[in-house]
Amino acid sequence: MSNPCTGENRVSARPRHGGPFPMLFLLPPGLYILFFFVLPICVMGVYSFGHIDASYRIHVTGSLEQYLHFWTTPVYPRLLLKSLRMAAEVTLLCFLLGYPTAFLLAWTVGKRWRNFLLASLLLPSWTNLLIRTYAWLIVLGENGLINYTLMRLRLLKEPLVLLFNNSAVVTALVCIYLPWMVLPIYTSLEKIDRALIEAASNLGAGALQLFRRIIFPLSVPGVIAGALVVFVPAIGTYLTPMILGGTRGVMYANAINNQFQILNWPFGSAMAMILLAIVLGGLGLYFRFFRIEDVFGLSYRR
Amino acid sequence: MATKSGTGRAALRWVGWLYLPLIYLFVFLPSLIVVLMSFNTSRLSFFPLEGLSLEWYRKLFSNRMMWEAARNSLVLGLITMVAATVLGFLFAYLIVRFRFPGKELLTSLIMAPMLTPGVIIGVSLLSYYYSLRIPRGLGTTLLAHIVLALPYTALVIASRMQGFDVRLEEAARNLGASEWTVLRRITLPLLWPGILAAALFAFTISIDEFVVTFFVIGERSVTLPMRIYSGVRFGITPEVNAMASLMLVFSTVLLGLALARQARK
Repeated sequence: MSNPCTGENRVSARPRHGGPFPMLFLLPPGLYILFFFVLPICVMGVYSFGHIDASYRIHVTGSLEQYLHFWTTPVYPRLLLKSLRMAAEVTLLCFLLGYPTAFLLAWTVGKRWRNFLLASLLLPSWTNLLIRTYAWLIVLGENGLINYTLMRLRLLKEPLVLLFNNSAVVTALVCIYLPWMVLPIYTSLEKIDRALIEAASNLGAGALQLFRRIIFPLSVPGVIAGALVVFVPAIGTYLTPMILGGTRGVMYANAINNQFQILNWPFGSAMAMILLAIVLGGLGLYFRFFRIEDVFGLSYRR
Repeated sequence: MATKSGTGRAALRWVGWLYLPLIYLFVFLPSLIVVLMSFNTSRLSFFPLEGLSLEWYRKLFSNRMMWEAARNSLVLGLITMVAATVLGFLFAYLIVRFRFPGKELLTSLIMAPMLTPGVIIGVSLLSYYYSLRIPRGLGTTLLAHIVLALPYTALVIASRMQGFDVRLEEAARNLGASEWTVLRRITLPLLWPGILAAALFAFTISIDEFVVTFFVIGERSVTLPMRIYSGVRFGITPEVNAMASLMLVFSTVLLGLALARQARK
């Protein structure tokens, strides 16, 4: 994507060619990621080609039995699909709620208030995730805030069942991840050169046209980044479904966790590798269309 | 839309006044509920409240286990903050200032933990530690937290680094400053706001981390989220609410200070 908002008009660094100096900067973070991210995944990958014996010892044999077991047991692929759909729902809802939020913050709030509002949007992330999830029990429960309020207002006679289903999980997840959708969209909106809008406006573009032809396209990298940082944790969540989802709310990540709890590591590893492959495949597809630097606002290739 | 007629702008502002409070209410609702419940007299978190008291705060202060967990979390958070910020700075400097083969691959690799579901990072580190016979504990948790925070610190610092005028560095170099002096006297001071933001990010990530910690901490150690988890598994205890409220106050104060500092400038 060629993108006029990523900083061509700024005075920006012109990358230099390397020498011995870059190694100094490369080695610490590079080695760190190698040893504590890449190698662990390799080890897990190796485990996924093994099986456990009666005393739970892992034997790596190089066989594909765990993967075969996965695809031949209908419950696992179905669970995977369910989790993907749920994460997609959460992402879509975050976008629908978050885009207007970012838009209004960027275009209608004065500069003095903007930083304050943006920063305070992140404040709840400082309250523990677990506690925030539990708080939804208090909001949605039988004697919870919503039922209590509605019954006091005599709008309800019987309490509604709001908990232990998928919508409770989705509601809580949207609440948790919404700020992470708003921030990147806001950043991309804020970067838009106001002169572009003025120019289009002077050329007779209406409000809707301005939005559709200029503002929205220029904010797409922000939307993509937001969708990524919401979708990925949402697909890997096991805590929120565990607490708010009830028995029907079990998600794929819960199943991975269960396999590790019952010490069937090879199968758990295989499930994790399958999820990883899907996430990586999805990301690969994404980045065929969008450069990673654009999405994260890193425009260093000039 | 912004430079549209005055009426359009005013209408948009009205929409903002109506819409933004609703969104903020939604995002803040769980935290507000937690604060409210921490003052509830009853042990059960139900509506209506029975009465208000500071009982749970008193109980919290005498809860030794909770404080041990809080101390562990604080230590982990601080070390993660320093380590991830330093590593993130090195990487940001590398990708913004140098051109070298394999740069794109390296960038995606460093960003990867941000785009990998936590459960995968958790179980893979568990397998890794197990295969190397490394006993799990606070140390293994620390290593995991740094992996999780590194992409964020690198990203925040790199985007700040792109914003500033590289000619300042070149000028210093031309005037005979060594690479080290340039870094110390020009680059770091200019990057300071980005570095602070990155550090805050790393601290936040570490202090709230549950998903990965759950797998890598083992049975003998505990962090605040883990403590809270085992507390709430048996029904939410109001002490946990009190702890969460204190954390919220702590972070609000921190944020307030940061904003005040920014406003002064």
